Amino acid sequence: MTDAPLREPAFLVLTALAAQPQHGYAMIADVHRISDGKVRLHAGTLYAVLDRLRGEGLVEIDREEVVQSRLRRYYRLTEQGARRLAAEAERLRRHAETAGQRLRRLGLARVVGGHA
Amino acid sequence: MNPAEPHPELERRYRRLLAWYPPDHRRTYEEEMLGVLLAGATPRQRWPRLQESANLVASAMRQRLLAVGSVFVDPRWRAGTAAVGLLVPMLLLTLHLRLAVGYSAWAREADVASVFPPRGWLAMLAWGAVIVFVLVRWRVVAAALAWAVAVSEGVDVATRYATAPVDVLYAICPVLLALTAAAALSVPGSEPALDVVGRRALALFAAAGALLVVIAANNHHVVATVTTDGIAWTYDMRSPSLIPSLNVVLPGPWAQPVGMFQDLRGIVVAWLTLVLGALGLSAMAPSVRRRMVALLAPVAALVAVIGLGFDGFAASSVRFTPPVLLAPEQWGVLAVTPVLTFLLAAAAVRRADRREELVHLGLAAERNAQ
Repeated sequence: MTDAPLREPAFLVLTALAAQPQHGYAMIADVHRISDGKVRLHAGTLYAVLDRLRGEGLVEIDREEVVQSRLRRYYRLTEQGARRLAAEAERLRRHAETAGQRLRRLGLARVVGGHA
Repeated sequence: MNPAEPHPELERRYRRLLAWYPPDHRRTYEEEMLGVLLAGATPRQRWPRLQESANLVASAMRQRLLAVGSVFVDPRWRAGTAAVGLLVPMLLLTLHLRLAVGYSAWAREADVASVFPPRGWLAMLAWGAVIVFVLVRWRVVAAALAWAVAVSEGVDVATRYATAPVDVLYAICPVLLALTAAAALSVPGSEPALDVVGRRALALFAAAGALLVVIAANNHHVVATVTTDGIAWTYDMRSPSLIPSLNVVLPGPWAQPVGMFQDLRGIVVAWLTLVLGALGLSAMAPSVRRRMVALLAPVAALVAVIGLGFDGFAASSVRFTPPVLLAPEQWGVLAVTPVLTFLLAAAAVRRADRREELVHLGLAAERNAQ
């Protein structure tokens, strides 16, 4: 059975964790950066995504720290998570490429920053 | 207060928002989420932002819905539904058989032709077929047939409401039982129902069912009337009931005096049925047993509520032409009881699971320490 496409928040969280293990607040900041400020995850959304990704075995807890009396939990990508992210990135790349080709055919090369 | 530290009021308000999440989620993520929320707060911020609050509440509601949905993902619940999908059709077949036998015994005693309705035979055949389909692992066919029977029984009951509301009242529980069986069969099982229930438990339940039918054959439709000359026997012309009434099943003080006098065998058989049923339950895995009980608790609660709270309605409704119908608040009680009971039973199952896990952890720790 093929996996369902990842939603954008899940894709961005996996992308953030592909760099290094991160805690929740760092992930929010990283996702904001990766998306050029377009996506700002709220805590409710982030933890819903993390809970689901953990349940699917795509991320796992790396370590826990207590900073200023607060629990800080770091998450990391699992091997399965890395494979899934790679497959999803490839799928999106193919879609983007097809979209680019068709737009170029329409003479909208500038829109995709292409090479007319 | 250190200006770099979040305002205590803000933490309290965030905690109040996080309280919307289900307990399991809170245990795992609450402290961590609070840390993230406070890290994102500005100095001297005292109130959660509106968008953030809405996001937390919406996520919490979603988690609660998922928690309800997880009932059908958790393999232990799937095992519970698999057991219900086999045992409830067996119970329904037993009850219909009991009714047929009871009708026949009553007709013999009253010296009239048996009037067991054709619908009864059809239902018996259908539930028998459902059991066979479950045993040969044709769960989808079994589920489709169970839905067809349950819905047709429900429709049949609903069409009689205006003329016979009391009959409908007493038919709600068998219909709910049939719907429970159909719903349970609609959940894909993690393993075959026969493996979940176990052959030993299945044999014990089958024996208990057979005895229930035997009781119906021995059931007396005569009642004692005390007259000045002593006890006289008269026929009770009520037709046999689908659900075994407590005074037939339960021995001792709950038994009808006439039963105690007239047929001691009936009492012995009733006791034996209870013992066999209890042995069957005890032969099942505790995690499956408690889920099966939780899934059937709504029907049991409804039987109790109707038995205890609707006697007055049943007695008075038939005295009027047309009969008095159920009031909206009575419908409310009938609708809320099964839902509330299931939620309470599911919470009890969760507590029992947690207790079991703690016991296992304790035992494992003891073994490691040795």
